Amino acid sequence: MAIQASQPNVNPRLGQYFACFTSALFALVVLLILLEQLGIAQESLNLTMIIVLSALTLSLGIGASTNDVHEFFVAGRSVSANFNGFTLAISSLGATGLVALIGIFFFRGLDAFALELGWLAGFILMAVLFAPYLRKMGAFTIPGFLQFRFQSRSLRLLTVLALILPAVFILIAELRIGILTASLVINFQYQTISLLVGLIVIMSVIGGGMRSLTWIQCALLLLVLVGFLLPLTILAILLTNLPIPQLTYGTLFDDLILLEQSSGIVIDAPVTSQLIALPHSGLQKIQSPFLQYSSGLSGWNFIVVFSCIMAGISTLPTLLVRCGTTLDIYEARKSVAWGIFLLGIIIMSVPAYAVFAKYITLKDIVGSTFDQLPQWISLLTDSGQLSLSDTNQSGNLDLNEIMFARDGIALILPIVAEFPYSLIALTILSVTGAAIAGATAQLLSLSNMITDDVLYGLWRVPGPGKNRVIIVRVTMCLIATGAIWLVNFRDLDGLKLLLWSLSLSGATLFPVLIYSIWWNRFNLFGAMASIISGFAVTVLYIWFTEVAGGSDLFGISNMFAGALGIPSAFIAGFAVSLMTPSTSQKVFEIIEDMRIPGGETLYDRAHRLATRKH
Amino acid sequence: MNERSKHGSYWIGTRVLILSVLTTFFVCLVSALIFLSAMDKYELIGFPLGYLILSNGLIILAVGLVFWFVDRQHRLDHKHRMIEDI
Repeated sequence: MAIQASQPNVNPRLGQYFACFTSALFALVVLLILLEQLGIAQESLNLTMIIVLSALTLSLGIGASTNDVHEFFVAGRSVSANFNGFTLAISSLGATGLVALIGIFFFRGLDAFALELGWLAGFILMAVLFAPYLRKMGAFTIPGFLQFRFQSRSLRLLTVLALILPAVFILIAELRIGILTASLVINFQYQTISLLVGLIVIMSVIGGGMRSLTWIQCALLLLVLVGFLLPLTILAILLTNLPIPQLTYGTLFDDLILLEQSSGIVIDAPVTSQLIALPHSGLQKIQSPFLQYSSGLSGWNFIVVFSCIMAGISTLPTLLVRCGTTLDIYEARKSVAWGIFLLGIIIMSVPAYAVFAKYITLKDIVGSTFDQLPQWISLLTDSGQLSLSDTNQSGNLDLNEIMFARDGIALILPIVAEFPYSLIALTILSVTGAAIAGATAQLLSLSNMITDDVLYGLWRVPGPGKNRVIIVRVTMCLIATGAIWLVNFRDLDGLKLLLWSLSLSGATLFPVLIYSIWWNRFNLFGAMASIISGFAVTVLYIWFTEVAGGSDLFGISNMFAGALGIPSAFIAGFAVSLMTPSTSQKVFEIIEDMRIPGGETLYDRAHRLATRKH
Repeated sequence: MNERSKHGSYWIGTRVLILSVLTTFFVCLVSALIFLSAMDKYELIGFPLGYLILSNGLIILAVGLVFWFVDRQHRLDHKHRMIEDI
């Protein structure tokens, strides 16, 4: 890479710092394993790990505190491409996505590829269609971008209203999974743990906003990579003799098929007309074999699932806002490339993880007696993630007597493989870490949208910088309190919330962003029509099938309601734009300017001119 | 007017590049899905071939494509002198 002319604020030692962080993590795990062999109690292991990890997170978050508007909202536009890629990868998946993908592979086998490829394609679309142009515009939020593109404050307000719901959905899903996994290693009451998790989430971003978020998420991605890939790689060495699980788990397929047949999982006849059946969050039995092509990868089902997730991921506000944090447009594109690289590593390992988990579960648990069970399996059974009951009094566990919960699958691998407790705790805490990373990203983008966009959507004059930051902080506390209250409110299915959220934000933003960047004729009325119809169709469909008890239309499950919302938003935007007058010359110049990579960031220039006037 | 046409050729180049990235990926994706069961008759390092392409091949292709796109677009920007005074 050619050395950029201006790199004002980038710390050249960041790479070394994060290398230190990773090696410290490894050292901690090795140390704890040693201590465990010496006979230290489980509680003190838990405590050490939790204290060290939360101290690291909080010190990064609080250490990056700032009152500068530019630093708070876009990290001073000085994050280098690879670190921005780290944050993109972790906030696109979050704990919900990661855990749910592993669970879907475990229960439904190859159907999960439809979701996984949607994630991948979403990143490609983001890199080529959106990232460079959003970076040139440089708005702090997506509604801010639309306001600038269409020169309309009412559009900004409208977009915020549509984007609050999906952000709240993901925030709740992430908090829920964070609390669930934290409760496995902390012996407090559920309410206390939820307060603790909420406190960590708030504390880590309240100081420095986007700046804190960047460094926390980099550290947490490293934690997730270590926490998931370390047990997986060790198991791969034990089972296949090579430390690259992503390429070696194929050698287990023959054994896995034999195991599945002997424990009574039969291949059903492929049903192509049925909707993709995603596993629910409750306890359920393994019913389908891994290597079976069923409804998920064929025709209509694949298109529905794939397009919904692709649209949702490529326009997720949390990810698109991150384009503004890079140094220039080249770096913005490159950061998405790094993001897809890291995401690729994770989603390549996900099926390997599920196959290894299924293999050792069928091999070691099915058919064993109760006193042969792995030592730490009580972690899962006590928390309701696994249920073992000898219903036919045979003394052995049959497959029919074992019920798994979807979100517990991610933790099953190190437990059933009988790894040292420290490694198990590391995996559990890395899920918590991913949840904190996802929740902080959503919390920050939600509070930025609510304060900045609602305030400046209603009043024209931007206040002094410090107040702007303080208002965001107050909103952040309010939102987090509300979210913690909602998490305690009732039992929710994290995957469903995530997919609803992707459907909603995809249907609201994907058509509008495509049109507003790539079609000059697209005007304000088209944008409004597109946002309203996309959001309304999706929400109504979810409400109609979930609450009012209606039946599915066109074989689309309500988790993929975006498949109805996206086309209607495209059609409405197109039709209304053509029926109303064309864009003004001023807007046309903005569009022209947006498409050229050189020159000053448009948002910064407008802000500079506005402050000079006062 | 001269300025406009210079942007025009840059814009056409950008669009061709973007379209080629997207068509490459989607053609590969669709053909991987269509020929999935046909390719599964062959085996490579223990995997059925179709499965391997779906699980690893497409991801590697996507990562390579995006890095290639970043590089080509950067060259295009330089060629049309779009990147001065940042």
